[in-house]
Amino acid sequence: MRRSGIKTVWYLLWILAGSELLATTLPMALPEGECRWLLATLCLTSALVLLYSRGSEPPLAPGQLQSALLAGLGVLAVLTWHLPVTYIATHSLHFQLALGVGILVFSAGGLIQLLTRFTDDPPFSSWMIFCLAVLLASAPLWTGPAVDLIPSPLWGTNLIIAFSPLSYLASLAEWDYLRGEWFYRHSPFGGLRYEYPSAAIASIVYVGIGLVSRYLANLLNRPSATTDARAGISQATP
Amino acid sequence: MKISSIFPLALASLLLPATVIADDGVMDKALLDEAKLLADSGLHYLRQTQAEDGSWSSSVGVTALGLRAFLENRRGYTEGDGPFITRPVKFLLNHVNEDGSISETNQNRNYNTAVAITALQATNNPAYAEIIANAQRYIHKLQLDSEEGYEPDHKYYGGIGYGGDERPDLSNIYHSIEAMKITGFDANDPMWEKALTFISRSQNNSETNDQEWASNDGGFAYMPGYSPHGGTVSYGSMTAAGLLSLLYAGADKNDPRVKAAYDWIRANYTVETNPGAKKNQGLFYYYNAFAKTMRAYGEKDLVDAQGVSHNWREDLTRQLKGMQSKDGSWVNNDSPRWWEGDKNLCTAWSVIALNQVINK
Repeated sequence: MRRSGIKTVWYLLWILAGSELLATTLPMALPEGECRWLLATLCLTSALVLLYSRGSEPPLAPGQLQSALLAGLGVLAVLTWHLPVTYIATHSLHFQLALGVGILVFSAGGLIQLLTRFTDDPPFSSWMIFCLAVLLASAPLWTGPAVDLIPSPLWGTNLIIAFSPLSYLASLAEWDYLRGEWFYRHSPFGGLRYEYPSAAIASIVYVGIGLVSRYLANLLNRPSATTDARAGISQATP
Repeated sequence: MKISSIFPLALASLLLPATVIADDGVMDKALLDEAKLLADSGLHYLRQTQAEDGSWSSSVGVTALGLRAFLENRRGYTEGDGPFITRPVKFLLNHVNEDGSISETNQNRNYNTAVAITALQATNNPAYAEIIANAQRYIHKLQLDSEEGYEPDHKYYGGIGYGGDERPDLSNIYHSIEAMKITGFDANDPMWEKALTFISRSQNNSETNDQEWASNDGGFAYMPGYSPHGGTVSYGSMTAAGLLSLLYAGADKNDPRVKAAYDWIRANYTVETNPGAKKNQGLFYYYNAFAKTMRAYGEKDLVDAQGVSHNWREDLTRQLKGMQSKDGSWVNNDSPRWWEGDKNLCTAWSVIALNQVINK
């Protein structure tokens, strides 16, 4: 129990330190909305990396929810610290973003568990899910040249945008990141017609992915390194 | 730059009733008749593709442009002419938001609001005055200044973005100030001066642009320090938009920024492509902005850098005739960028351009 508590604090400190370090290096010229959105993205990335780094340990059964909560709290702390609440909308946006990051981490945690049932290799599973998240998030960049050639790409662009976790955060932050300066310069999506996914529906989908993955992982319940390791820890704990 | 320095005749011509036809020698009579036919068939296409709720492409922006194409046509359509006018008006009104914006989406709120109030103004119906005033306030609030932490030395200062983010660009500010001008926003408001600062910083004219990147061809990039066609290259659609924005914001023909932009158009004159743009991106946007700009500038003929005289009205009519489909529509077959894969949008823009050609 004490060991778990220390790990939790250690985990939270890492999220805060990582996000804080990146946040302070952001150019001061960034618009507030973009800054808020970027900070949340950085916190999410930190949380996913930490999920990966904890992959060889047994945190993912109770830790899926725990990780999500901690990631969400980390986002809230960093946003509140860096962007003082000046009006109620900002306050609400901070909570929405924190919730969104928590939900994404919850979803990723479920997928890692499920994948581990097939790979028996939690670090590898974590790495795969992290890579998948990066691949989907960067889709507006690497699909850009192809999308630019399609005469009426509305359906395709919406699909690519909907699958990106960044779009989910953008919906919550009410921030059109594809028309922000960096993305606009590096992706043609900003010049196309598109819609972000509904934040409410996307939240339900991501929570659903987390729950269904967890359920399937339990259903498959093959002996795995995770189970073995958990057994090892519980035996070692007096 | 004071608003009082606007050269009144050229700009006032933008606000004249759409029924003053260019039939007194500004262009060949046969080509003028062609232009009228082209516009008619474009409007016919728009009638066919109009949705039951009066909209086009389920978009406030495209609907407003389609409506404007009808209302500014020489035939002088009004709300009294039937549902094909009243329904799109109602569609726009149904998308008025609490913050004053008129949009079906959180993205493009500035574009949508700007073109929507321009279309509502063209109805000449005083019932929409309050909606237009609220939308003006919304657009005014979008302008970046010290209130949002952008001081006068910041490259974003005075700019206006899409509304879903803060990153401003010349295209958005062009639509904004066009809307503000046409709807009669206070000519003494500091907004115009701030807008001029941003517009000037988007121009490749180091004499008047304090940004280090600025070169000296006189054309405009998309925003300070960036062009989607590479580096900070000037291109036709933005140069036309930039020149028109300068005129709207109070610069006159003797202003060095206006002279430099006009010289760029002279040096790169063509209606076959969007000069300077990759893959003809934004071609119909160019036609629209070019026609409005040339009409506002008030010259019948344009003498290019080689000394060749061009009647821009005749050239644009011939070009649009060659590009029109049998069903009366236009579309950018080279690139869907900037929504130009949408026939309703390209057709609306073409008809608005033809209205500029036809109307004196």
